[in-house]
Amino acid sequence: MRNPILIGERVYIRPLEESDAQLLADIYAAETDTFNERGRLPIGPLAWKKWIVETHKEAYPSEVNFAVCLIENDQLIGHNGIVDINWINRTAESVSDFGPAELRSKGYGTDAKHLLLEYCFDILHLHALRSEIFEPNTRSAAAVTKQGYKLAGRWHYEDIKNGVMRDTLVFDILRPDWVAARDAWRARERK
Amino acid sequence: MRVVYLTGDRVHLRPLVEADKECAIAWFNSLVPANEVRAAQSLENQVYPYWAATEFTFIIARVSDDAVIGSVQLSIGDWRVVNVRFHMAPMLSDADELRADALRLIIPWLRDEFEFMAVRLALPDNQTATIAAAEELNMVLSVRLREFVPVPGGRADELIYEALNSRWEVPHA
Repeated sequence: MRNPILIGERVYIRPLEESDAQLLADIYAAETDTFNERGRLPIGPLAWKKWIVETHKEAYPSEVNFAVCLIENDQLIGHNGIVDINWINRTAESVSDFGPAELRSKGYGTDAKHLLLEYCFDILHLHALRSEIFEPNTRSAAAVTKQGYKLAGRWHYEDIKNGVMRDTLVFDILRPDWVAARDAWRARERK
Repeated sequence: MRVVYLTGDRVHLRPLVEADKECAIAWFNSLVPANEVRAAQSLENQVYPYWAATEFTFIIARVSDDAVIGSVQLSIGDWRVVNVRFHMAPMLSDADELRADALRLIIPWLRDEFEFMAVRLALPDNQTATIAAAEELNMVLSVRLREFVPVPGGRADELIYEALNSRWEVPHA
């Protein structure tokens, strides 16, 4: 494993490096799903590199992101993190993005999310997190519910999909929600 | 300066002026105190280029004596949805009631004149007068984020109220 911060059952998280930029661009270029947002947007390696450099400059940044890698072969399969960090209120928004498509729905995202939540609640000692998911993205909504998030409501009229206005679902999670979900998930994984 | 369409019985809203840097504690939306230098930088960022701005700050002043008692920030992404945040001067004993009065000026202006599809307001659940004003203005409680805001002695839920514009007759799934 390369420079791991936290290690899960099958994945680990580590800082993003400039050398990850091309891999992230490749993952986005191969996106097959169209329901995550209004549409797919290719992001090139130059943009990823700039983002990685800029978000590692400050001691108290507004976002912290991780590379998610497979333990078995160090393959980068996506990234997760927190954005809109409020260091005074001790809150943030969690985000994740995984690919390629054939690696989805195998539990890697949940494994990685529990590592991210461990970082947020037990290392940064954040108090609460939120997650915002475009309503057509039912797969992510189901995933965060399984990970312990609770539905908090919706932002109305967030964007257009198939000619109609769609909302964004808003979820929140506190440390006890995460611990309960993680323990239940681990028990299932280890059976 | 008085903006005729943003003046109520007790409060009025107006653009920032240079002298506002001298009372930044009353309006500058930060828990870290802003001195005149920081406030002046903020003023400069606010005024130019105004045609491309997506963030606007307006002063909330008392009608009786024009004293600066707070501010309202508008964050406008694509001119469909606007996020509203208030900051009230820390020395006020009736901040909640004055904020409620300011909300009564803001919502009709943004929802009915600008015709935003949604006007969003985030506030802790202990601001009862503002919440009552939001409900009186037909805003709906759209999101409740548990324990999201620190308040004296603990944490409060953050509520997001939305003023939804019924004149937008768009298909909505």
